[in-house]
Amino acid sequence: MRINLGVGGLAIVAMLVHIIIDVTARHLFNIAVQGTLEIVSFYYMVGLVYLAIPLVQARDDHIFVELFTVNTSPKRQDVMDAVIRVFSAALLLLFAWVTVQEALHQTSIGAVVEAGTDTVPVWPTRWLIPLSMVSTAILCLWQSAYLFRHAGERRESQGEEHTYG
Amino acid sequence: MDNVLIGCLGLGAILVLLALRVPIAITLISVSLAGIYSIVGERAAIGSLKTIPYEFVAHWSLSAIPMFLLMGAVAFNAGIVSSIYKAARLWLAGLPGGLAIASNFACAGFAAASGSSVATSSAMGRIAVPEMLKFKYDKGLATGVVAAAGTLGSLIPPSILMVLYGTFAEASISKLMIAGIIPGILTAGIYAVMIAARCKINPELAPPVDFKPSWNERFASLRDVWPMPLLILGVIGGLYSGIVTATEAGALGAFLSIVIAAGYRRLTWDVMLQSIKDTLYGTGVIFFVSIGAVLLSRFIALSGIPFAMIDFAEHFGVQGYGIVLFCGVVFLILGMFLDPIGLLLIALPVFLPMIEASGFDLIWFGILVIKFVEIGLITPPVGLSVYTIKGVVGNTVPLGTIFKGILWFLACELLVVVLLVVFPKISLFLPGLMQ
Amino acid sequence: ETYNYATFAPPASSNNTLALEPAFAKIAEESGGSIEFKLFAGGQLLGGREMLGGLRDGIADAGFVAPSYFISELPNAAMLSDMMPFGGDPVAVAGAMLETMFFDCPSCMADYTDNNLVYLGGQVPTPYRMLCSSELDGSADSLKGLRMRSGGTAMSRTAEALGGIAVSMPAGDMYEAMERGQLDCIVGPTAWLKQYSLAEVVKTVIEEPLGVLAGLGLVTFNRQSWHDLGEEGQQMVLRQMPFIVAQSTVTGFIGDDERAKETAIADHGVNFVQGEESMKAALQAANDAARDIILAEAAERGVEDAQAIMDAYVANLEKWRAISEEQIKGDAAVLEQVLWDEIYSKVDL
Ligand code: NA
Ligand code: NA
Repeated sequence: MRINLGVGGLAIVAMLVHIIIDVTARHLFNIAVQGTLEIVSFYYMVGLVYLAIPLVQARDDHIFVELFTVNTSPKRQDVMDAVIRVFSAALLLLFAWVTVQEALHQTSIGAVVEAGTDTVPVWPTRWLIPLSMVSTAILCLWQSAYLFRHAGERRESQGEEHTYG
Repeated sequence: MDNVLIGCLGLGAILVLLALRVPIAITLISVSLAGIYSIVGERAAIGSLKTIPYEFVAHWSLSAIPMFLLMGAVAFNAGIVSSIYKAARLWLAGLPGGLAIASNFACAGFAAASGSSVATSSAMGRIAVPEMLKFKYDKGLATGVVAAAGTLGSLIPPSILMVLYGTFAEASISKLMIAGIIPGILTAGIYAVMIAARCKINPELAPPVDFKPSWNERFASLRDVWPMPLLILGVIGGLYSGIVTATEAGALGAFLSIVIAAGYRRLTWDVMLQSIKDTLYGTGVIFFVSIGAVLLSRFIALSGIPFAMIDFAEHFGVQGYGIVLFCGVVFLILGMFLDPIGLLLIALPVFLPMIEASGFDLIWFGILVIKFVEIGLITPPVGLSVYTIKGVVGNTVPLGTIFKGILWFLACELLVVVLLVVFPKISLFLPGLMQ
Repeated sequence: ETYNYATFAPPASSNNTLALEPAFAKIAEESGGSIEFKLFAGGQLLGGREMLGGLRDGIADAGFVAPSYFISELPNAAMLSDMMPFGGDPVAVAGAMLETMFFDCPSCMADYTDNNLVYLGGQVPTPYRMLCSSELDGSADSLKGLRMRSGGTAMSRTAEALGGIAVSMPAGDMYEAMERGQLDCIVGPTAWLKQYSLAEVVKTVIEEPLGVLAGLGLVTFNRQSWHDLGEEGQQMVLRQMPFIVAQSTVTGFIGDDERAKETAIADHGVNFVQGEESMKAALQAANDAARDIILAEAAERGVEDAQAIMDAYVANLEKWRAISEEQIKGDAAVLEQVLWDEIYSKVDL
C-alpha cells in the first residue's frame, strides 16, 4: 500500500506540474508541449485512479449503503460484510483475469496513440488495471477472513477507526 | 426473456444488492456484467471489462476532478480557509444558517470556474463541509448544501455537459452557456431562502452565534479572509482571460492553493502529504463508482430501454408539454442510477427528435436537461455528487444522512424546474439579448 | 435477428440520418424483417476509442471504426488516414480508398481480420480546412505562429509545416478555446462551423483543402455477426454499401459543408477566402516531405510494404480523380452506381 500511495502521489504531483508547465510554456513562449493531453490521460489519470482503488479498499472506505441494515446486529453485519467481500474478491479477480489478457494483447502489439505529430506508447498502463484489481481482491479476502474470525467484536469499541489485523 | 425486462430487473437487482450492504461500485459492475451477459452473451460481458474501464479513466477532461480535489485538500489542510468561515460567522450572525448560505454561494462562484458538477463538489467539499461541522451545523445540512450547490457546476458556464448537448442538438453553445446563468443564480437564491427559512424555524440545524459580535471583532476577523476569494477569483480569472481551459482550471486551482498556502507560511510537508493522500482517496472513491456507472449505462443502452421509451411515447400519443413531463419522469428514474454523461447519451437520442418535432426551443430544453441531470447527481441510490462529498468527509457523516440532507434541496430543484418550464424567459432572456 | 450498430457520431449527424438509417430500413424490408439493425449513436454503446475492442468482443455487431485511434491494432489500414494530405476531392478519395482496401492491400484487410472484424468501407469526409478566429488573407505568412488544433498526426504535421503550432485538445474544448484565444485556428471540415457552433467564433475560413481523411470504417462488422448474417444477408448489406458511402459522402458531408458555409456567411459574417499561391506552395512542399515521414512511421509500426500501399493508393487516387471529374460530377446516384460496378460487386469477403 505504501507503494500505491507513493506512486499515486507522484502521479498527482506530476499531473499538476505537467499541466502548469504546458500552460506556462504556451503563454510565455508560445510553445505547445507535445503529448501533454495523452500523458495526462493515459498515464497520470490511469495511474492515479487504479492505484487509489486498492488504497480506498485498505481503509475500507468504498461507499456502501448502511441505511437498511442499521438495526441488524453487529455480528450479523460483520458476517454479511465478510460474505460480500468474498463475492467482491471473486468479481475483482475476474476483472483482473480479463484485463491481464487485454494487457498482454496491448503489450504484444506495443500499443501507441497519436500525440501531436508523434506517438506515445500506452501499453504499459494497461497493466495497472489487473494490478489494481488483484491487490483490491487480496485486501477483500484478508478483510473477509478477519471479519469472519472477529464478527461482532470491533463495534464494541465504537468510534475507533478499525484496522484489520 | 425480453431485454427491456432484463434491464428493469437489473435496476431492481441494484436496489436489492445495495440494501444488502454490497459496495456501490461492486453492485454496479456485477449487475452490468450479468445484464450484458444475459442480453448479448459471455464474450461481450467479459469484453466490456477489457476496454470500457480503461478508456473511461484515460480521459483528459476528467483530470479536473483530482486537481480540484487537491486544491480543496491543500486549502483545507493548510487551514487557509477557516479564517473566512470565522469572519462569515461574525458578519452573517444575523442570518439563520449563514455559513451554509455562504457555502452555497461559494459553490455557485466555483461553478463559474469549473466545467463539471463533480469537479465543483470536489473543490468545495473539503473546504466548506468541515468548517460548517466545526460550528456544529447539522451534518445533513452541511453536506447537503455542498452536494446540491456543487451541481451548479454544470448549469453555470463553463459546462462540459452543455457542450455535449450543443453538439447533439446542433444548438448554439454560447447561447446555451449564457442561458444557464440566470437559472444557476436563481437556483442558488432559492437554496439560500430555503436554508434561511429552515434554520430560522429550527435553530438546531445551524446554531446561531451565541454572543453579539462587536464591530471591532468583526473588522478584526477580516484580516485573514483573502485566501479563499483569491483562490476562486484566481481560477475564474485564469479561465476567462484565456490562460487556462476549463479542464486546466483544476490544475491552476491546485497550483494557486499551494502558492497561497506557501505565501501564508502554512505549507509544510505534512500538509502536502496529507493533501495528496486525501486526493488519492477521493479519486479512488469517485472513480470506482463512476466505472460501475459507465458500465451500467452500456447495459441500459443494450437493454433497449431507450427504444422502449420511444415506443411508449408513440403508443400513448404523448404530445406537447406531455413530452416535457415524460422526459422529466424518465430523467428522474434513470438519473437515480446513471452517471451524467451516460444519462445524456441514453436520453437525448430519445427526446431531442420529439422536442424538435414539437417546436420547443432547443436552448430552453437544453437548460431543462442540464437541470434534470443535476437532479440525478443528488438522487439516491447512485448520486455522484453525494458520493464525492462522502469521499472527502469519510467516516464522519453516514451516506444516509447526506441523502436526507439533500431532500430539501431536491424539493427546491423541482420548484426551479417548474419555474423554468412555466417561465421560459428565465432561460431565454439572456440569449435573446445576443441577437 | 436484430443486429446492434454502434457509432460515436451524434444521432443527428448526416451519416446516421441520410445513410445508415435508410439503408438499415431497406435491409429490414428486403429481408422481411428477419434482419434488423438497431442504431446506437453518440457513443451510447461504444465511444470512438472503445469501438475496436467493443466490436472485436461483440458488444455491438457492427460499428464505426476510425483507424487513427487504433494505429497499433490496424498499422496497415491506418496508413490511409496518414495519407490524408494527398487527397482533395472526397469522391475521388472514396473510390481510391475502397479500391485500395479491398483489392490492393491484403495486409490492410488482414488488420481487420486479426481483430476479429470485417471491414466494409464507409464515408469520406470533406476536406479539412483552416478555420481561424482572426481576419486572414490566405497567405502563407498570415498563418505563421498561430495555434492550431488539428486532431490527428497527419494534420498536425501540415499545421506545423505551415508555420503553425500544433495544439492537442479534445473536440469538446475547441469552441471555448477559440473564444478565449487559447486557439487561433481549427483544422477541420467546414461543417464544423455548424456542428460545433464554431461559426460564432470563426472569422475566416481559408478554403484551400489541406487533406481528405481516408480509411474510415463506418460499417465494420464483428466476424461472428457477419457470419450469422448468412450468404443472403451479407449480400443485402453489401448491396447497401454503395448507397451508404455515396449518401454520407455526397449528400451528407459535402451537403453539410455547403449548408454550414451558407449560414456562416449569412448569420455570422464569416469570411471565406482562397489560399494564396504562397500557401499553396508551402502546402505542396509539406506534402512532398510528408511522403517519407509517412513511410518511415508506417515501417516503425511494423508495416512490411508501406511503399506498395502508398503507390497503390496514389495510383487509385489518380484513376478516381478522373472518374470523379468525368463521370460522377458530384452526383450521389452516379457515385453509388460506379461504386457498385467497380468495387462492391467484386468484393469477396
Ligand atoms: Na461550470
Ligand atoms: Na442519482
